[in-house]
Amino acid sequence: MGNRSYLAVILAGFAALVFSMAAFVVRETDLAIKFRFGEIVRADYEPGLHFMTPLINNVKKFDRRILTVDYPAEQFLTSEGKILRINFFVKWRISDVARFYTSTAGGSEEVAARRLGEIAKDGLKGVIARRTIQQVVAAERTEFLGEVLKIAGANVGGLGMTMIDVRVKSIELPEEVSESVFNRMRQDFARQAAQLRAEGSAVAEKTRAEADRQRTEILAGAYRDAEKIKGEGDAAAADIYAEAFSRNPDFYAFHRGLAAYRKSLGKQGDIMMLAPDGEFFKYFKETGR
Amino acid sequence: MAWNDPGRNRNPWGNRPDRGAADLDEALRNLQRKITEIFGGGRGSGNGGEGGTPGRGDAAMRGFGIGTVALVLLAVWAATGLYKVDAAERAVVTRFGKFSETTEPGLRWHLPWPIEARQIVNVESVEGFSDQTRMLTSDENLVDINIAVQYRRAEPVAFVFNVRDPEATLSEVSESAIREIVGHSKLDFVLEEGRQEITAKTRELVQRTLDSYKTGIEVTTVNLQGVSVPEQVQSSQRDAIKAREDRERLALEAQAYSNDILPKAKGSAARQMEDSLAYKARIVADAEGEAQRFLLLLPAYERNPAVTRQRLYYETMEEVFASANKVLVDTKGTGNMLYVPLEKMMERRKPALTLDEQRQVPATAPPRAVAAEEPAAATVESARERGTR
Repeated sequence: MGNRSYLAVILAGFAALVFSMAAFVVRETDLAIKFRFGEIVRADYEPGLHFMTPLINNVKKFDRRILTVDYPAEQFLTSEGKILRINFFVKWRISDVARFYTSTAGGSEEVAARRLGEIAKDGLKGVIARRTIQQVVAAERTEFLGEVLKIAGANVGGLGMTMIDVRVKSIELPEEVSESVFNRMRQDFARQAAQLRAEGSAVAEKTRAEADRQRTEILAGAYRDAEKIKGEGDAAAADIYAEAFSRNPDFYAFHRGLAAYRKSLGKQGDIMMLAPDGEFFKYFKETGR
Repeated sequence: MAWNDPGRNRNPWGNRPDRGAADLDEALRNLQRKITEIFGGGRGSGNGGEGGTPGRGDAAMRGFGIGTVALVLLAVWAATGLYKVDAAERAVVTRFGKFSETTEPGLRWHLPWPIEARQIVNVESVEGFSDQTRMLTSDENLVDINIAVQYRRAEPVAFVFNVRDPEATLSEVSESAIREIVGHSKLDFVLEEGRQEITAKTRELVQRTLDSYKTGIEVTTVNLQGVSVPEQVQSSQRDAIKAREDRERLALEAQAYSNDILPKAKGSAARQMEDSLAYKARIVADAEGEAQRFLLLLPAYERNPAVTRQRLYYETMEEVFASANKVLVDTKGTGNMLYVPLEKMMERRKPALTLDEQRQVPATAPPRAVAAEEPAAATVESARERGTR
């Protein structure tokens, strides 16, 4: 009894072992190939539980997802003969797992990455060689990478892979080119600065000139008006004088003459040289005689 | 591990079953001991510790023990299918590797390993990263851009199944996208007004690319955290910025000048006007005054013209001669040179300005002596020296 139950346990264990060796799980992210003594028997497994014959069959699994290979910067020559250092990555997936297995030395992703890299690089090289730096930098992705994909994609098909995307991650200029770019940028900024300052001076000059003109206009206008008013005053005064003095021009002349002497002569410090025979000195001489 | 899901949720089958197994062992041993204690009567308690190797008890008891053990094992095994999904999470459940369902938050159960498995993805939390790179603009200038991308794992199924390392893909795609967008823009645009547009376009392009890979990632925001020209040209750029400020400053200074002189000019104009009005008023008033004076004097004069005339003459001359220096020159005789040391007289006069008037009297003496010796000088009018005052 005891032995029989042990046997049952052992048998159950053995069955479980065989089952576990015969069953294999293909996940959503997996592609699987079943081999019979190294020969590919089946490669179109859907995700789920599948079976094989232990010892005779074996199964290898590969990734079904989109994979990325990122390549270190490589040098490319543009149409004007300048060198660009371009860092790109390739998005790809296994499209035909059986062919992929045979074409990449047993399905090694490293080998695949190398092959893809070479193909993508060739494609990029061709496309970049026909463009200037400016066109490379500003190129539409669809147009530019479409061409790369067209060239590269065709070559990749035979390897059981699909190239989904080739994207440029970074474009670097070689040292001496970036130095010249810096120089040009500096000049650009200097030019901008000079222009801005010149514009500033121009605006300032214009404002000042306008202000000066307005000032002159204001002052001239004021002078004109002031002179006019003064003239009116002069005219009025002249009329008043004339009206009064014409009553006796002779006396006016005498009176005004005296007023003028009083105003203009005989100030402190004036020196007068006189001949003592004027009207004033009439009696001066008489008494002396 | 082939599944590169976010770190926290790494390895859905991970340690839990192992830990479960360890716990299981211990739980089993405890259970076994209790059972043997109860059913094994007097015999058991000493051997209870070795209940785990059921070789010494009797058969019935062993059968019962094995059955219980199996049951407990089954229960524990089943319990490993229990899992909790947080409010922000979704669990992707696979049966033998094939996708079966996505479960919502709550306490959930799936068929235990190896039949079903789960992967828990946080679909709500917004993650982010930032990346600084130098790139070329369409006008072949270099610009350093620091971009920050925020995203969430919006579609857990796609996120888990379609792309290996979706987050690294996002980072690569972002870098590539910003480079492409900046590559289409001019430097000035990137540095100034274009930020909004660049982030919007970049976000759109990243999202479009990610969608084409079916990564299940949703980009929520793309920010330009820093946009600057390379260090090597920053001083030039600063100067250009300063020049812009200079331009404003110059314009403002000129405006200030204008604001200063124009009101002053208006003030000065107003003063001229007022001055001229004052002049007019004064000159008219003067005229009126003088005319009045004359007209008032006139009848008196006309009554006694000769006397009045004489009087006025002497009064005036008296006043005129009173304070002037006088040189009397007798004009008899003909055209000999008469030397009058006017300069000396002027010099002597100067201190006299501050002293009293008597001091001037001797000053007139020497010329008069000269005049006496040489009485033949021509008539000299005094008007010449009038300007010296």
